[in-house]
Formats: sequence, structure tokens, C-alpha cells
Amino acid sequence: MLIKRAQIERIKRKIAQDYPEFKGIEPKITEKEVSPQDDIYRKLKLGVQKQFRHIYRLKFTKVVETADRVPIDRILMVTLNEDFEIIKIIESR
Amino acid sequence: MRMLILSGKKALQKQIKNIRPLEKTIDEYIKVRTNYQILFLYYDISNKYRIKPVKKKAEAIRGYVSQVEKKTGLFDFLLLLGGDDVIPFFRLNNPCDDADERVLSDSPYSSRDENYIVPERSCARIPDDGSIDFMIKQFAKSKPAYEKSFGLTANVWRRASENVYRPVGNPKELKTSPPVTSDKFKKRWLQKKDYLYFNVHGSKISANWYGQQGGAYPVAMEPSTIEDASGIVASEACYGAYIIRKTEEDAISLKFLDEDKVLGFCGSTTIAYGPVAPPSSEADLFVKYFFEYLKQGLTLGESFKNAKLDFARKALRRHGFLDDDDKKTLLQFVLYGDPTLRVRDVTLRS
Repeated sequence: MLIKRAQIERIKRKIAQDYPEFKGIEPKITEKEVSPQDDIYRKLKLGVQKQFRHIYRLKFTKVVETADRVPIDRILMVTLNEDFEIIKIIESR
Repeated sequence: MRMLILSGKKALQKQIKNIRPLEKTIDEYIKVRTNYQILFLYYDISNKYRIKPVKKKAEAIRGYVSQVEKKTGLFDFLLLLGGDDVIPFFRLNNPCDDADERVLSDSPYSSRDENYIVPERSCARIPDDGSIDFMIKQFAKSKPAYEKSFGLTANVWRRASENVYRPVGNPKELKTSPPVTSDKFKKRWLQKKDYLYFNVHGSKISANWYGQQGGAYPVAMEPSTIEDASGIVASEACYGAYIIRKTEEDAISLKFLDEDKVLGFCGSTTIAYGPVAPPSSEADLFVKYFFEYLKQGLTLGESFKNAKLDFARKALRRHGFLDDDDKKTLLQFVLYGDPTLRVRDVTLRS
């Protein structure tokens, strides 16, 4: 299922409010099907996961300059689940 | 407990010239560590186990470790002796869509199968820094128990950092940058401590680490800030553990390791990620688990390995899968220093 423009705008508004340094940046949107990671489950001795998952990523990027003029990539990534709910927001360190 | 110390003789000689004093130090170290069964081998030299020497290639060296295990039994700890020019980091595909073409990683060395994400051995590295004294020093580290910690976070990540720091220190005592900047940094903050925690920005091309508040990125600390520091260092800074073609003068990680009472350094070789606020995820979650195991009295190596295992389990329980950022976090964090040390030991050895 494709993510709708209205959903993207909703997330952009939230990012602009909570992370103002990324305000006005157009995110790069990707969707990905995550296949069952049986090998990882097995190695960790957890029950084997059979489910395919669908996630969406909105990546906001910009380059900033530090006080001593070093350019740093700033990345903010929003992960959405199949229902377009935000499951994670992380930033580059 | 069993440990394999592994290096490449020719490459090591090229880096530090006369390796005999280091070999002598390792022989002494093996004699003193009676509670460990330790093997010290060169991957490029024939030995009594009749394992065919290999070239200075990461995959070949990993295969060599497997051969040693087949002949002698499994190892709990693997200590890689030397930097990238002696034992190359693996250059893994970057799971994330970011500026890193490859992820420099020691994770494959810690895994017995092709699933590098989940470690089975505690793997650490002692970089060479082009100096025999630097390397010898790593085998003689000790510090008293101070029962004190220090933490520095970018101002914007204060809440997230408090959650990470809590296992080892009072979150209210975390310093933030700004207002802390390198010119206001007190060297005594890093002295007589057990744990040193940093949640700051880092860069591949700069020696410094940075704070943040809004659009301001002040220099929070630089290598010269470090003097008589002590404890175990854990840093979430991007490229905090990036050491290729660097020395203690332009890498904070190497500067810390050059200190007599700094037991080890845990950090990321590439761009790292974390949340702005709790719950902890990515680098935050990994470092938090690392601290928790250290606090329980486990060795640096065991704490590092267990933190990766717990991190993977937690991510799977939360979302049902490891996403690209989770995978990168597991691959990019490396441990420098003697993996058998414990933070809580008062006297480690003579």
C-alpha cells in the first residue's frame, strides 16, 4: 500500500514542530518489505518469526557546520509500520 | 575462560618496528593471567598447530581463527592485536541509506557463522597507534575503584542521555554541551572516574566532538582535553571509534587509550543513530546495556557481547524484526582494549 501525501504532510508537520532544525526539508521516502529473520531468531534462541512486515522510512537530511567549520551530515529517520503509525524516530549522532 | 590473541607479524613489525618487547609483555601477561587459557598466535607465521598461514585479508584471518578453534577448542575472547593495517576491519555493506559506503566492523571476527549480527565470542582490538609503548601499555592497565562517573551529552539529547547514564551515574549530574565547550572543559571531570559517557556529535574528518543546541554545534571536547583520565569510555559519537590513519593527536578514542587508567573504549566506526528522548534505541540502547553489564562486574568483553545480544533481543521483541538502523548499530560498535578487564577490579595485576 502506498503512503498517501496527506500522511507524509502529517509527519512533516510533526517533525517541523518537534525537530525544528529539519523544518522545510522534503524527506526521502522508501518502503521495504522485511522478510522473516529466521537466522537471527534461531541464533538468539527465540521462537522463529514467520511474518513478513512492511515498513516505510522518511529520511530528512541536511548538512550543518560546526563552530570550527566542520561539515556534519544531520539525518533524521522516521519509521512507520504497515498502518502508517510512527514506530521510531532517530537522529544521527 | 579461553582467549586467543591474534596479530600479523610482518604487518605489526611494519607498524611498530621492534616487536620483541611487546611479545615479552604478552608472555608475561599470559603467565600472570592464570585464570585464563591464552594462546598468542600470528596469522602469517607457521605454528605448532600446523595451521596454514594466511594473508592480511579480513576474511582469511577470520577463517584462520576458525581453524585455531577447530584444532584447540572454542575461545570465549578474541583479542585482535593491531590496527587496520595489521588486522583489517571488515568492510561490510551499509544496511542504512547514509553517507557511509561501508561499515568498518569487527563483528565478523566475533561470529562463528555467516550471521555477523549476533556475536558468539567477545571480540576486542588493541590498535597499534604506530607505537610499541601504546600497545604495551594496554596490557598493564589498572585503576582504583572510584565509585564516580562522568557524562557529557549534546544539549538536545539530554533526556535520552539521562536514560543511558542512569545505570552508572546520577542523571542530574550529566554535563550538557552547550553550555560546556572545549575551552570551558575541566580536565578533572575525566579524572578519578569509573565510567565516562559521551553522547555527542562526531565527524570522520575532525578530531573533535560536538554539542548541539538548536542550530549551534560548539566544540564540546578535543584530544587535548584529556589528561590523567580514568575508567571505561563509551561514546555514541559518529566515527567515535574511527581510527584509520589517525593517531592520539587527532582521534579522541586513541587519546583516551593512551591514558594509563583508561581501561578501554567502546564506540562507533561510522555514522551512529539514537533517539532524542526515551525509550532508548540504537546507540543509546546498546551503550545502556553495556553499562549495565559492566556495573554487574562482567569483563569489558563479556559486557560488550552481552549488550549486543540484549540489543538484538530487545529490538526483535519491540518490532518483530531488526531494521536497517538496528543492524548498523550492531555492526559498527567496536571495543578497544583488553577485553578481560573489569571496571570494578581494584588491583588488576602487578
